[in-house]
Amino acid sequence: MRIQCHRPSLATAFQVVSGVVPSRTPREILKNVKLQAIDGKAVLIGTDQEVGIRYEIPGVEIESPGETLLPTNRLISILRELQDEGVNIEVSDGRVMVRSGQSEFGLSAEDPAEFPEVAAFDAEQYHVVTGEAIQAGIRRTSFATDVESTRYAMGGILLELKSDSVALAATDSRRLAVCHLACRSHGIEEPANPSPVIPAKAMTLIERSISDEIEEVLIAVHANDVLIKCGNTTIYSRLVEGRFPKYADVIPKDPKVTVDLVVAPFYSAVRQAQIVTNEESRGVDFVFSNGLLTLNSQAADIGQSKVELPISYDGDELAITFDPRYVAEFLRVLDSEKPLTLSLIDGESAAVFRTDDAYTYVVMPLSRDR
Amino acid sequence: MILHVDMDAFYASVEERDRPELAGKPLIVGGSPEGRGVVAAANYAVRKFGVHSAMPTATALKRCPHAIVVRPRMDRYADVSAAIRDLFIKYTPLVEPLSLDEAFLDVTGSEGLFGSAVEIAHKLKREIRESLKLVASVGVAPNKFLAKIASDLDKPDGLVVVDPDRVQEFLAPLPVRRLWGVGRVTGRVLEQLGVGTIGQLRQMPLDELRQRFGKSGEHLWELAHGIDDRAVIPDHEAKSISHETTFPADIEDPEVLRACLLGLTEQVARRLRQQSLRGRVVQIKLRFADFRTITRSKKLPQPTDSTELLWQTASKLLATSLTDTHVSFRLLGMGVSDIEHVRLSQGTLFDDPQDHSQLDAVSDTIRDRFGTDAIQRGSSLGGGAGSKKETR
Repeated sequence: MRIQCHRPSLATAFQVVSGVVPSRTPREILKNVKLQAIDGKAVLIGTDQEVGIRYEIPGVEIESPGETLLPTNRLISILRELQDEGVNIEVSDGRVMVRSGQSEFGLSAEDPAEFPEVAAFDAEQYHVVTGEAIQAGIRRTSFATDVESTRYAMGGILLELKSDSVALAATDSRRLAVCHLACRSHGIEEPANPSPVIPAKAMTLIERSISDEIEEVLIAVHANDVLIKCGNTTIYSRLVEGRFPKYADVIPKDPKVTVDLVVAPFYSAVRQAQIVTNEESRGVDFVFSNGLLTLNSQAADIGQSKVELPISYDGDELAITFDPRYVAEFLRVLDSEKPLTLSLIDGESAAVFRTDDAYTYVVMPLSRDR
Repeated sequence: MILHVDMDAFYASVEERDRPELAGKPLIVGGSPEGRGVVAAANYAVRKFGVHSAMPTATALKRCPHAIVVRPRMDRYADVSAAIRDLFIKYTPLVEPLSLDEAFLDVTGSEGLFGSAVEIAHKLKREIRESLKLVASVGVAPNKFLAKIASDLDKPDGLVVVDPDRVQEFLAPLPVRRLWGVGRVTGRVLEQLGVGTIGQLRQMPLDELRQRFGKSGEHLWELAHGIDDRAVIPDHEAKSISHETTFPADIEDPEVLRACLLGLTEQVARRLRQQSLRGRVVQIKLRFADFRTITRSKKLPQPTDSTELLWQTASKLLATSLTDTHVSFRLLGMGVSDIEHVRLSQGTLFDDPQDHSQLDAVSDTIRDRFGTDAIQRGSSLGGGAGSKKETR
């Protein structure tokens, strides 16, 4: 194998693919990435056997086809330090030669045949979403996953796929994030698995692989795994096993009170209230009274704070205590000038935030009684 | 001044008190002899036959065939222990429980109110006898280490006072094995050096002890001089809560270790809940027969006071520590650290099948109000599931 690459493009390829390369693994070979140069395409492949990625490297001239394994961290260091625009990679006598300008590196390489396969995207049946929509959907849900959960399949994002829409849902049982996107389906009559749970790691990788020029993302779900194509990148992932909780049941149906808010001033108030909290007293009291939302917090040995925000509310006073982190994490993924609503039943029941673009976020309050 | 209060044959005494027909008869609290049960506690009547705790129940019954065996009721002992602590805190808020049946009390600030430390010790012993019908041995000394030695010197029903001006006289004739950290191995090395008593140990220069025993040599030197600066730390200020058991005979059987760990976990969890604390780091401590000591810990995603969650973590830590077979242990400990005070609890959207907090709260309430007998765990020291209270 002998190829000529554009160094910045190759460096980008390594940055993306290294996202799945495990830093600690019982299988040393997985610390490598596989470079495949066949059929006029150069593809960089990495996997931790749960999640895998195939990244087509642009601007590569294949002088003679072939494949090799490359030690990931070593190559990232080399590509970072090299100065020239061009890099030549050649495999001869079981060694990989990396040449650029005045520099030459000879690295020992393991057998590429030993590296696990990562499936390519060759599905005939798949769903199609816009890159922009799925990227926003992942940002709006992935923070609510719980990778440590052992009882439910909470370590990933649930996709509920219909022919023209998809719902993304994630929860750690303290809060729940759900958003709906439009989609279209291609070649699907009877879906094999209409509600897969995709690991948070794979979803984050998809979110990062979507660039401005990628208009469409293809999602092919099978019984136990999923293949996702974003432009020239294909991501393979095993699905999270187990049952995702029945999330629709916990979204409050008829809240007593609904308050209109705007992201930026509300987020600012929450961040201010968060300052005077600590691990021991995380709670911030949200008090809704006539025309005013007051955020009160206090922590032993630190002090207390009071932040007021005018709101359009004229009902009875209502107080609810939240862990402010759970409110702030939600507000952070929203556009600052957007409106949102907060609906409440009482101080002990789940509260629900909604935006005007089909995004719902439910948070359980902190309670004093025990 | 520090008091060390140690209840005499605690589990067995509680059983004798609750069931007067057992009083004075040889009594073993422990697991069934048919299984691999071990003795958790033995009253003084049965100790005369050479029965001691951590001995297999079957062996104990060979030594004393007419002994009565009853199954341990840890919840009951925890209740009685709480009642004893209520007596303690009338005299000082500085109470540091070591286990269900021992505690340190710092009464330095209480002497003006309740009389001298010795008078307080007498009053406590009398109150424990009159209101709880139990017997305690008390050591009164200027520090924890001396108080603990003192309480053990005149058991049962002892009261030994160490005069702060005569500490050396008190320690000198005692065998070195009375010192914390001196067991068979260190004891043998010291004997080979001609050191049998604490007085002889005190003659050894610090440098030589350091050379022979490293860091623990310094510790030995301090103890031999009666020095111990550790404060009495009450639970609600504690950075960690832990319990440990030293077995009189080394234990190899993993099932016995598990049962023992469960007992320790229940005690720690109950103390957390009593003080409205939750801990995040679970630790176990194992001391091998050769004195090598290991600790293993795990950080939980959320702080907890749930017996079940602590037990799941602790039992996993034990299982992964017991990789070699035929290794025996002389000490087992369980503790929780990274503790926070509970003020608010986060609600959850979905029922958690592993969340036993309601179970814990309900069973604590039942025990507080009615005593314990209705609420018990299916497994206990050496007794398998389904084994009932046994008498022979």
